Amino acid sequence: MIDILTCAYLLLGIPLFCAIALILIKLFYKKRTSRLYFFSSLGANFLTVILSLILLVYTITYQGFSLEDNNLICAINNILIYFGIYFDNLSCIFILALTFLFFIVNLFSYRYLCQNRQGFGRFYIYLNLFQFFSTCFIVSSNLIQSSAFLFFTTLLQYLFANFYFQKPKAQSDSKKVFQINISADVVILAASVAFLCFSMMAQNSQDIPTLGFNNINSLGLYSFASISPVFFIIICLMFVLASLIKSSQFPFISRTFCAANAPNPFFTIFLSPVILAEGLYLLIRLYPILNLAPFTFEIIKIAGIITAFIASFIALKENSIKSLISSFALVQTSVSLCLFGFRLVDCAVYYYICQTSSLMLIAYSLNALSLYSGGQENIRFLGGLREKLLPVAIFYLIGSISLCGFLFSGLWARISFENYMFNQGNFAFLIFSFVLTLLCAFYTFRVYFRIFEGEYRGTYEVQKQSKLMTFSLVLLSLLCILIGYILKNYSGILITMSSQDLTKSSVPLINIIGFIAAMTGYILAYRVYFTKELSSVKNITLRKICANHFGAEAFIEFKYKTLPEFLGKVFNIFEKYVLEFLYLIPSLITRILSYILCANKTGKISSRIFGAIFTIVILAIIIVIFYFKMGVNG
Amino acid sequence: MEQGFLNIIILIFSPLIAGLLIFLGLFRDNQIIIRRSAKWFMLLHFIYALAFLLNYNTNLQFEYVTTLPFGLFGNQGALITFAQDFLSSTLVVLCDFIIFICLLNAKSTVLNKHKFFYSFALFFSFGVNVMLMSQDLFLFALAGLFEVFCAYILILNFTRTKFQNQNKRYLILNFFAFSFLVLTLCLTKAIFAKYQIELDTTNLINSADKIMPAVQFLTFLAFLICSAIKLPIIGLHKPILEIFNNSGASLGFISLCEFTLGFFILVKYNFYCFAKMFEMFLLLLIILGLISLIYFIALAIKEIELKKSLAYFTFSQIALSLTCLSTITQEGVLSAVFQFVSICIVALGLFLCANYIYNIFKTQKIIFMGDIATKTPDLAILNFILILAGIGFPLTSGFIARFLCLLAPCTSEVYSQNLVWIIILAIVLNIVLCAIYLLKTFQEIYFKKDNNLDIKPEKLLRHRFYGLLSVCLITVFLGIMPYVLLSGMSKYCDMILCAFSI
Repeated sequence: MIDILTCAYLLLGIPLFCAIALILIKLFYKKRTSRLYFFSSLGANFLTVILSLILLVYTITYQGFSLEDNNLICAINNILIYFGIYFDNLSCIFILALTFLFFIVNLFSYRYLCQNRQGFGRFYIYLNLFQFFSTCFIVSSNLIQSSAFLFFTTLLQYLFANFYFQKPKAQSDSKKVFQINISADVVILAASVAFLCFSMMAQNSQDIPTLGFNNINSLGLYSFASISPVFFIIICLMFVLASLIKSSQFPFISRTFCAANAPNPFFTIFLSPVILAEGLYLLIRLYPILNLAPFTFEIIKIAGIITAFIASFIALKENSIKSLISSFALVQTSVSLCLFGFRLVDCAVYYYICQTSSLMLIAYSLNALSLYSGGQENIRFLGGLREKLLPVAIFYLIGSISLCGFLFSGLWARISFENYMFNQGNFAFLIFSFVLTLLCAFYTFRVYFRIFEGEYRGTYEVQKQSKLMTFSLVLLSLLCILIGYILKNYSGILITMSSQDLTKSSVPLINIIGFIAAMTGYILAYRVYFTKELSSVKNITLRKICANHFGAEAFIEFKYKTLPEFLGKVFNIFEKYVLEFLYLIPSLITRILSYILCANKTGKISSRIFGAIFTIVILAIIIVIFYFKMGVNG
Repeated sequence: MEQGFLNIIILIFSPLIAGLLIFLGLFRDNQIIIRRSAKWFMLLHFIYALAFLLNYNTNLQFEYVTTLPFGLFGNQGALITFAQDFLSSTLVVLCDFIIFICLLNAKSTVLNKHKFFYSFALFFSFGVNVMLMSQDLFLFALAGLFEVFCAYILILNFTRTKFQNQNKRYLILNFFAFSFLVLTLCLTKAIFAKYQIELDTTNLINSADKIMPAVQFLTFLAFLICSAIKLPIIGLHKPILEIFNNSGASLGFISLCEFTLGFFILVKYNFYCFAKMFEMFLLLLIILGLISLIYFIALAIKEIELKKSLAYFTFSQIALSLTCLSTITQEGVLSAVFQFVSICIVALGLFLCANYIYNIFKTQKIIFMGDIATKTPDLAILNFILILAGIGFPLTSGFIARFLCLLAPCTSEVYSQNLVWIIILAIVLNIVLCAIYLLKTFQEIYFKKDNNLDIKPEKLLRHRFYGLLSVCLITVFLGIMPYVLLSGMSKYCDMILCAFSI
């Protein structure tokens, strides 16, 4: 009988073994193998879904269960580095979401790759490796391990973003993705190392502990007690900054948009709990430490609010499908981070999981639609597809209704966070959330009316729908409908990070205002894009201001390109003119010496004093050397 | 002391004998035999050095001091005394590996004067070994001049004539530095003579306090200058930069071994022998280190020539070593040594890749390169692994090195916490800029689409492939099992830190 620990290790190991097997197939099996890749990867993913379900059931059955196992892999001096797994309710939820999404990506990608006929093996190898590293990151038992696996996820993100490396745009964008991510990873590593060191000093122990998540609270207290508050805040700020970068918050919004060059099925993973929520997940894990530096929560709140507004306004003006999906996802992540900033950790997780399920449904519907319409990514050249692609239109509508908070999981998520705000008396954020709901309804239905209503403006014949894709969309829509309800019912077991009651009674007035806000957004979209009565409204949007993310693009460009190049130029001038001159000095001395010697030899030297002095000096040195040597030996 | 088969004299003198046998015409002019015998000899020497390191890994101050029965200038001159400790043995192994890989690559780059090239490469190896293991300081200085002379001869004969001015400049600088060193050593010897003490490394460590401060200062400065020229420290980096830039794959060992020697002088003599002086110079060194961290990597990003930019990148990584060493903690010394070994191996790999790329494009300008990822996939994959090691990805030696480098300033008790944070910030900035530089260069070379480029698919030659593969494997090995190096080093670090009052 397999015990639960073996299950957990199998969950980690299966994607890795699958990736290794696929590499071997790619190297040694030269025949046409697209189906082999697909089925092996799908099989491995299916197993991981089953295993993650078993873990979830185990968690529900044994309430408050957490599983930890550590293996020493390396000892650097007196620092012990462990590879460990730590399963608790939070990691179980994230693992389930992750494995399910990877399963969907597998289903989705076959048709897509068949159409593109490029990099079949490479795609599935990357995908399985990515699943392995992401899983390892989520179940990491300590901070050092987490930061190490973040490096790997960065690498895989880069490889995926550069999947079509023949495209110059893919090259430049993947570079940006890598640069932004690696900055965050290095900052996290530096903060972790500083934290490790200070916690060690505080414990006054020779054996430096690895930063286990199970005792991070006490480690935080030790560090807090041992160093000055300013330095503790600096460590916390480093963690927060890096997490915000990882979650693509202002001013690092472009990271998400740059990832748009990845293959379509994978791109959606960028926006899922796998990548975009890496920062949020890390922040939740570090919540006990951050609690000791309350100032950091304010930063998270501000960054979240700014990003949510920027992303909403981008969604209002964007026409590219991938950019639209990115901005939808960014808004939801930002709201979750805002909730975290208000220390509503449970609510943030609940909101994020519910809204992500809706978002995934929307994202995959749009991806399928793009594929069926000959790879068209601009919604201006689509339209009237409701009749041609009715199932896709239905799935999109389900996702939109949920995302706006009319029905399904999105409704539960919206109600929970609006009521929390009301109960806490955060009226400013409550108004902010109503405005966001309105905008969300407006932009999601704008896309719907643009794509599915009116006349078809595309040039390609709409293709036959894939059964695999439809099946995966059905699975996603089931998740979107049910996840909110399930999580709400089991919230006492599954989401218990900060012991907040998600089933708290809601205030009807707040629910009604939220509903009215969403409805207003829908009606506006209907009047502008369907009946076209208010088409002039389009020009009033803040599109121009948001076009450059409030200067964030320029900032990134400055930080990663202009500044290093400027420094390089300045230093180059120093190298060319100052250093070159200094190097002349030894040559000049040699020349002078050789001149004196030559002049002395040929007898051209006017005064023989030079020659005499030189000879005397040489003789003196020799005498001194031999004198002392004789002294020693004698 | 009896040493049996693993003998320090065999370790040091065997390259000289092998070089002489080749030079004096044992194999006549049979180029293949000369090449193969030199290559196999170097491999055996590397294995011998490794066995030596593993067998005598006692971490004590100096082990197995061996003195030859005759002096350098008769009985009145310097004694020919050798000794090994953990650092010197490790660096001998590193240098042997570097030279072996470069000789492996000489197959397709050195097409004439085989006898000359291989014998002088072995002489150079001998010079390096003597420097690393000599106990007598005059012998050390003499070996320093000898190996620079060998390097000069090799560069003179196997590189472009246009470059010879820079080569001469390096020789002159070294000559000045070692002359200054000899003069200061004479003064030190004079002082030691009063106490009836012989001038060697052990006595210098134990009796450094007996030297008057002014002479101590001068001797420390002389060692520092020697180290700064070879390592290099900012300001004195130009000649070695040119050597790095103009050497082919077969001559790559010169610059890398010079770095190693510079690092050895810095740790062994400046740090260990003159601990008090090192404390005096600490602020200067840390400032130089911090400036170098940003200075070199910014230049690397701006540079348009591939090998030159790679040299700047290597300098910036060496500066990281210097910065860590200046924290004067166990973690600091450990990280400095590990970072140095790691970057030497990675730089060797990247240097070889740069040479193969040069062979494809026949230019050093990065802007004229591009689109070879699909043409030479083997090279692209191996180069990418090395780039990951350079960036500091987990499972490579780079990650452990970066981890230790970030840990070192945190544990330091020498600096105020404000300065500690500045050091951490500079290190983080350096790592990020390195990542930006390496990825940018990799993408431009391997992926940039240029329709004017007409490159035919090319398979990496077998000897080149195995050379690069072994470099990659060692990087990964050190990333997975860093304790192989660190366990021995940590005791050594404890020992050398005893000399500090801080």
